[in-house]
Amino acid sequence: MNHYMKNLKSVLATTLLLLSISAFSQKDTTAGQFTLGMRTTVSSFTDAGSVGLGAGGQFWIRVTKHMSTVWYSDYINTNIQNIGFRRDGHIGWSVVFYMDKDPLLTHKITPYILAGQCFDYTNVYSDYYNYSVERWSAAAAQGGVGATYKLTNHFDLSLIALYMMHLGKHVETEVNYTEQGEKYLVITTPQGASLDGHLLITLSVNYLLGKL
Amino acid sequence: MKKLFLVLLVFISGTACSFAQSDSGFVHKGILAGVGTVGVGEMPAHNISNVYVTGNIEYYTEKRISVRGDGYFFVNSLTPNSPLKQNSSVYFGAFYHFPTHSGFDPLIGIQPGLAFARTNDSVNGKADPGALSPITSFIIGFNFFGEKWFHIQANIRYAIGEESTEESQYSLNEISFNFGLGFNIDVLPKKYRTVSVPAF
Repeated sequence: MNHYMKNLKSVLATTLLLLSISAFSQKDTTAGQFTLGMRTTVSSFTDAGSVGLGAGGQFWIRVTKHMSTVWYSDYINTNIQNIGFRRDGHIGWSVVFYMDKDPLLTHKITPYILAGQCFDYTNVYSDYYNYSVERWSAAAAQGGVGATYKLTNHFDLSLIALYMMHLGKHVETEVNYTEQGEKYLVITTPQGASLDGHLLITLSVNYLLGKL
Repeated sequence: MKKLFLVLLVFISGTACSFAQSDSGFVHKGILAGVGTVGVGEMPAHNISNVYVTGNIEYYTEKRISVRGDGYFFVNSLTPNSPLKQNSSVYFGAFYHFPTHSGFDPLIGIQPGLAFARTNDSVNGKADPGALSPITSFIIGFNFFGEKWFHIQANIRYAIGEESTEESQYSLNEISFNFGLGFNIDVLPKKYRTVSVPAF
């Protein structure tokens, strides 16, 4: 728990520092923009090829003209080939770097790259064993690309593709077959770091509420 | 249901193209609207139909943009021996309103949400307790503001989700149609309704 608190404190300290820097920047009029949104996420490349679906919310705090932070939470449900299921809860943040000279203008697509950290809850259940495994991890990291299209001054649609790696404790699944050819789900909890994770594709609608 | 979907899609597309150059209609920033409707849904994976009582609250943050929260209360399945016993849901998201020069207000939107679903499945005598499942939906539809205070609304929603419990794994994918009557008020003074919002 202390480890988690340290992580959380360092994240908050970094964000406060970035926000403070931006607050004292007299030239940058975009710093401090606060945007609130709803998101839907598709989770793939995990759980024996099954695809999960999630819903959640997020807010963006713009730090400078070319940099922003996004804070999000997701609840994702995956049916694993009707032989088990997986539930994921994510609370995380990413730093966003806009790859455009004049980002986030109306009627224009702004591409960006982003990376960050995530607190991760996973619960996996196997029908065959009538058994579930649950774990919490503060050591998930994600990185990827995205694009935002602003329909109006305040409203935008965003599409983001992130690969999330579970660097701490993780739960893996594998489909096996009985001698009768019936498939079943095996759950394993390997120790140590791994690059295993999932690809998260997120579509969101966001509304710029104002400046902090 | 598919025919209905196509008719509405063509209708909205045509309207949007016809009036794309004009936006002198009734719709404006600051409308707060509430609607009660009755909905019918079809689940293609199970070939069952369901009935809902639905309601939503919508606020026009701009002339072309609104935010809206919807609630769907599951009444019953119309299909005999349907395994679905509960499928109530809440949604929240945003809508884009195509400009027109009348009270007709075609719209398209995205709303993620949560559904509480339960089936009559059981394993070893233990009944499905139900689960809260993430769900997402895409909506096309329209409002028609015929009166100052009242309007009618129709929507076609495609919802995607899955109930997963130890007793049941059940697709919640559903196409639904709802239609109802709404009440609307202006929460902004007239002088602010046409003011364009700066991007800060």
